[in-house]
Amino acid sequence: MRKLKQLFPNIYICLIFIFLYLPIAVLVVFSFNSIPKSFIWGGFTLDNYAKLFSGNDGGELLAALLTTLKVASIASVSSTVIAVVSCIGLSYFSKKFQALVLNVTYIPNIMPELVTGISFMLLFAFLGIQKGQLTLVLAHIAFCVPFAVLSINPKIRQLDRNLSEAAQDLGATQLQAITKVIIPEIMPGIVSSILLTFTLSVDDYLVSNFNVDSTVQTLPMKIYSMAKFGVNPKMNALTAIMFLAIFLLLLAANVRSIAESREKKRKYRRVSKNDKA
Amino acid sequence: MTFPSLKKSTWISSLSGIPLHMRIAFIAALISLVVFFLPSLTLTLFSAARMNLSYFQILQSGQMRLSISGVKYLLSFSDAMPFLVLSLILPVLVMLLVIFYRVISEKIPGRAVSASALVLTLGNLAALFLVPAKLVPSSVLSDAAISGADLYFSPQAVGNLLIILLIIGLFASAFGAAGLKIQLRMLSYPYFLWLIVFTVLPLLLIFFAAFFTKDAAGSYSFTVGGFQTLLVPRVIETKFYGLTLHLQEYFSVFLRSLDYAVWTTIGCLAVAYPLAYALADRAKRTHSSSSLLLMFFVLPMWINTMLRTYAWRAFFGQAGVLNNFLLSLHVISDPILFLKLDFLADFIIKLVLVNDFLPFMILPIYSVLVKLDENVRQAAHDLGANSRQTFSRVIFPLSMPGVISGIQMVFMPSLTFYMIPEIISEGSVTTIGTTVQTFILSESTVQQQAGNVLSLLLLIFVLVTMGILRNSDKDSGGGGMIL
Repeated sequence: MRKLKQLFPNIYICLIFIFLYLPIAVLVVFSFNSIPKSFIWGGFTLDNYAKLFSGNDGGELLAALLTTLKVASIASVSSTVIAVVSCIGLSYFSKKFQALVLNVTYIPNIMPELVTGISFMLLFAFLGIQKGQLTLVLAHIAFCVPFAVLSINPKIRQLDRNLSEAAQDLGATQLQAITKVIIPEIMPGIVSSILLTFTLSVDDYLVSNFNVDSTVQTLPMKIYSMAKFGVNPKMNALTAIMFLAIFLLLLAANVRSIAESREKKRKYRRVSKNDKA
Repeated sequence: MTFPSLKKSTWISSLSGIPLHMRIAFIAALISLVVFFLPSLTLTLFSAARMNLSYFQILQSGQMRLSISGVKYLLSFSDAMPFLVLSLILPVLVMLLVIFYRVISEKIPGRAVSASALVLTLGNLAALFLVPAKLVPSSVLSDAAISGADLYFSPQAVGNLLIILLIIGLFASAFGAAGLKIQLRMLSYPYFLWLIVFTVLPLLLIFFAAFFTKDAAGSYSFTVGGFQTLLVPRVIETKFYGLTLHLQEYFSVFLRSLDYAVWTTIGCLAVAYPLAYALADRAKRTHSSSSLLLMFFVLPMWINTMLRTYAWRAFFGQAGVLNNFLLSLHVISDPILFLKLDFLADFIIKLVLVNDFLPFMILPIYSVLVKLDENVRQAAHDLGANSRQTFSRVIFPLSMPGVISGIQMVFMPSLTFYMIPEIISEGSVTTIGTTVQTFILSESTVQQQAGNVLSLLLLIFVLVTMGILRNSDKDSGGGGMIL
């Protein structure tokens, strides 16, 4: 009876799982298809992978990929640094003032991304900065900062205020207290901030679209223009590679927490066994 | 809150005994000196970047040959020479001042040393600023009959970063000169500036751009042309759930987008809530955080949306996977045009939207449900509630914060996310997002203003909706607590 009760949720979980992974599975399977530009199965080949970055649009694809990776690395690191430094400073202000600053910080989070992109475009026009790589990077940093603050500020709030004072009593300088005590303590927040902002920046289309000139193209922009022009086997291969990369990345990020939860589970079992005994 | 001075520091041991603000000034000067030898200036001719030069290269060569529309000119850098030399010497002077700080501060007070560092850094900054402006002499410009906008030197990203650094150095020495001590709360001061520039100013600019346009002379004037463009009395025929409606052009576009957004939100909620419930239940039962299973449901979120949308089109397309599959099973004899049939295409767009935004709904609901105390359910049971009452009057109200934030994360982006309808319908469906995009990127100023007005209206609509949601959250949260 109890097993039957669990059966229905499990079937439901499986169905949603299939629904979520259907598009990805289609692309990954047909990335090995030997008939180009078709969704009729013709046999296994690795041609699409070999030709991914060759040819005219392949070169553009590679350039777009490199631009995206560059912009995302700069944006994630800079926004995280800005968030860490600002949040440390902010923690020395009164609670009321902190709440005010954080509310202003989170305004972009509830704005439609489209409007955010347009507002940055207006800002750069107002400041007289030509659209290009610089505006792209600045816009990406700007829309990443609220998310970085979102993942770092709670960690700083959890910190014991006495911790840095204790470090200084023990002879550490102000700077050492930050680098040797505070930064290691908030390291999980920093890592999640970098991961989050990096993926946000890689996936962004709307903000980038309004803040570049025709010479710069990010990967989502390239994919969008390719997707508009019908079937392209390169997109299938690209999806498969991206999926694998993200899967490994997330797995690596989760391995530790999974190991910890296994450990917890084992302990729990041991305890319950002892209880029974 | 003040902190003890940095006497025991081992950080850059050769500089021990020197106050922090002077060290910051030192680092700014050092980097300024390094950047002097890096290619940090770009020569732009007719809005095409021609070459990258470092300040040092310009100082060395003194002149440059340049051909503008076939005629050769000699670009002489003599005007900029004094500033170039200054921007080489001044950082060295600042560094010397900091290195010999202890010797100097025995003779004159520390604040005076900081003040001189301030003056030197200011000079350095001014020199670096003036060099690009002075590099192109006006004689070449007038000879070649081109304007300064056609031929100019501009600092690259390195140069811009340097300016930011030097401004920090400037502030640091100003601090020393004013006799203030560096406090940790000052770390957040640059952030306030950042917030004003990148959050407050853009918002103000959207308001401003909706009502004011810049004319050819460069002055701003108040117009309502944007509103007029939007409210144009042009009626178009739209099909809406089989009904043929005659609606004002942009109102019908807005209605369609709203329809997509509402159904996406409802669909996500309907699919995600049971899933989050099942996952949370599983996690509680097995006493694990079930992070691996949850990870699999969140992972599609990280795959590029456009790729997944493209995959759906490939799945439902005329020569797509589903048609091929059905044909090979001889269920159908001719491929079905899923994406061309009005009603079906509309449904598929909503399906893809739900598929795309689903993880954003699962996560917040799951995180609330998994933290819910199991005793709450037990208590409801003990007080005589059956399992349906327990869910509708206890569990669901308590999970309301997760539902609200899920709705926030789905409804608002799906309203303006125009890429999915665009790719699925191959451009035949117009949504509010595409309208704004074509308005903003068009050449005419009236259309651009209409785009600004539309984004302002969107912003207000979203903020009001979010405000209502927040308030209802408070009400229901309170109700849940009373029960």
